[in-house]
Amino acid sequence: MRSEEEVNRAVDRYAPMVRRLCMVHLKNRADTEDIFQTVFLKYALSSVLFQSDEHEKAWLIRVTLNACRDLLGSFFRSRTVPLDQVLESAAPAGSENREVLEAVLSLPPKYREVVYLHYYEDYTAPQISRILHKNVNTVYTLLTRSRRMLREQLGGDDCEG
Amino acid sequence: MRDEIKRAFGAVQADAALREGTKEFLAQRLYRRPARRLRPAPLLACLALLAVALAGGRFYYTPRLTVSIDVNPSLELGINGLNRVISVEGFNSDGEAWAETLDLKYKDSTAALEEILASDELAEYLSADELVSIAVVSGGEEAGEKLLAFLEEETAGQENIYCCSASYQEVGPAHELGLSYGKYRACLALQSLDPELDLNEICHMTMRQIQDMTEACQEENGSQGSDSSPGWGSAGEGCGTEGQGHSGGQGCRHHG
Repeated sequence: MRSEEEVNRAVDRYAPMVRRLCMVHLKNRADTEDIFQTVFLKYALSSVLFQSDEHEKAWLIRVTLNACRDLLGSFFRSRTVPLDQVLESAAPAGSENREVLEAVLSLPPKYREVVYLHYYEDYTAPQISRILHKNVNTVYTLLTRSRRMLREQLGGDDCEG
Repeated sequence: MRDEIKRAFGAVQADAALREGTKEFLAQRLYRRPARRLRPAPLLACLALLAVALAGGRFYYTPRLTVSIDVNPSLELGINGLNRVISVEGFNSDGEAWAETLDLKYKDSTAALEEILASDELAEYLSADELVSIAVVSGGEEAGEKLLAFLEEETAGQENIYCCSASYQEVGPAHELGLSYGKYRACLALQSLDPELDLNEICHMTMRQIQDMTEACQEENGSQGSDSSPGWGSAGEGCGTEGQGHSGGQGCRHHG
């Protein structure tokens, strides 16, 4: 088991990332708290030796996404909240950030994940395919389609891959 | 576009309450355990809720089949009566690490097994000439036979993947020994060929090592069959030859 100091360091360092992944899955506050507890409990109890910060980060992304999906699949805890409610807590009305977040979060779930990982976390399609256990060509397709959908919503043509 | 998305997501932060709440939860759960006095009323309410939840979820969360996948990592999938994966459990450190990376819960059992068979982890082991055993453990239901038939079809042509069936009765003590059902079955088969072998030693071997030792014992005993399938059938008999595998429901089939 990892030490309390090590776990607290991970919470401070990765909490924003875990929070954003919960938002990508439209989780409400209570479920977000549950996912935080699940993810960092697994981190504390895991015996995996991380070879680098990148390895640690990718592991946490995978565990967080699994926790989000597990909660979706549960009989008793199957709740996502309306987009407006998610945006309310993330970006004030009228701000430019809100428009962008609204465009991303209104995409179907499988597109939201790859958009976040590619555009925000700067992962390449092959890296995303390893994290999500998806075929790399599938990731390319998801990125291409999501770019098209975002372009339709936000306008502009500078959607680099 | 990239900059806009970065800016938008970058503004989303985890507030202090979320961070500190998580730290406090972990501290209470793992690092400090203060004695707490239980109050009867909330406790009874919790118990009543728990009873309702258990009754509702009992059917869904009762495993009817277990699929044991063993290489060096040992992994078990618990599958319910609706053919959904309800648990993914590692039985050694490699298995636990692998289980943590898999997102199989609540998936259809065949889709979950397809994902495992197509995984990079399994491909790496196969390319290193490791041996993979996939055992379908059931109480003799037809669903177990169907799943085994599916696995045989999926792994046809894979030289180093062996599919077996077993009964819960046969491999019952496995978990008490910290072993997966499939590995326990292979260990028992090897031990039946050489009773002097210590089960505690065998259980630390990879499936490839167990197979190699099983073959060596079979040669020594002069009971080597006509093929190279591991002797993981009942009582260590060579299996994979026609007529031995499926009919008894306990055979082990090799796709060479």
